[in-house]
Amino acid sequence: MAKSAQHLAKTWKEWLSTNGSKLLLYARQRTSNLEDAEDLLQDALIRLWGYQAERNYRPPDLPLAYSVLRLCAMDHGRKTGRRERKHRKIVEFNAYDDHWLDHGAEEDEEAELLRGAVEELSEKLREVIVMKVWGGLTFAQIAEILKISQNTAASRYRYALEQLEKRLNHIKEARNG
Amino acid sequence: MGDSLHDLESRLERLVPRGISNHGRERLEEQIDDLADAVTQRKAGGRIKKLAGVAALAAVLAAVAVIAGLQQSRPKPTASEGADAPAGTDAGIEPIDYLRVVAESPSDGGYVQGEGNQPFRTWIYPVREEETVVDQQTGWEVTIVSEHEEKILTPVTRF
Repeated sequence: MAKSAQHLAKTWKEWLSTNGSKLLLYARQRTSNLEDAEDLLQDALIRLWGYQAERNYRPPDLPLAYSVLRLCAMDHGRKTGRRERKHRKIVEFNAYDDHWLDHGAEEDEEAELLRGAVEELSEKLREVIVMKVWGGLTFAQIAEILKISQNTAASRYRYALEQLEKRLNHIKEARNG
Repeated sequence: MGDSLHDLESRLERLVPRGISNHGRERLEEQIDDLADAVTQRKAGGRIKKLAGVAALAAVLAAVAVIAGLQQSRPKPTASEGADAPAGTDAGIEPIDYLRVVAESPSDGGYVQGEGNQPFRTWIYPVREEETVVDQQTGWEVTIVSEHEEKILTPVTRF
């Protein structure tokens, strides 16, 4: 590989190393399994490469990456017709430990419950949570990606947190009898 | 936002997105290598095409100069100006601008079979190139526009 190609590849690989997990999380919550999510990420990578041709092929900024990934997910959903099965599969994959998130430093049962609750949120609420909490995007950036107002993005985020809190409280009450 | 929601946010942040699988990472990095190689090859091809274009444009400019009767007004070349170069060559032709535009969204070129029966998905990018050169002696500028398609193949692991 020529030196300039090496340098180009290196910058993109570094970008992938930094942002790959965040983007995979978004892809994962839009597909029904890890392999589809990684396929989606690859499709998005190719499109992003094309977009960045006019910018000397420098790696894209994160909002653009999420935007393209979202478009690829919509195309993927239309072509494969899996959207109607996605919600059913969420429960199945939980059972097979095909989760999107790890506990990290938290080993307690509550982290496990929280993880499950995130995965069970509706798509609209889940994608805002994913972009805000793990993507680190601002409400302005999220609004632009989703083509909604900034207020709507913020409201949706707050509502998602409230739904998560409600779900966790409900599970705890059920367990405590 | 209340304390309980802030607390919930903090707990969410302590969950960590799962990384790309080893196989997935290898595939993506190979894809990046292929894309980067393709860029370098296109640039090299562009330079070769550019030189071919300059020679062609030199012939065009010379023909235009003859038709317009400008040959008579050209000063005779001196030894220091490359007198040995016959008229109609690329002497005195200078590229002044080059523009390459790649379409933002590729079209899906469908599936093809590669080596070892490996299926590939084809992405087709329309590309437009514009080369502008100037004849330094006459001042004529000519722009040649060319359009072509470039294909990128990505290996397919699932249908």
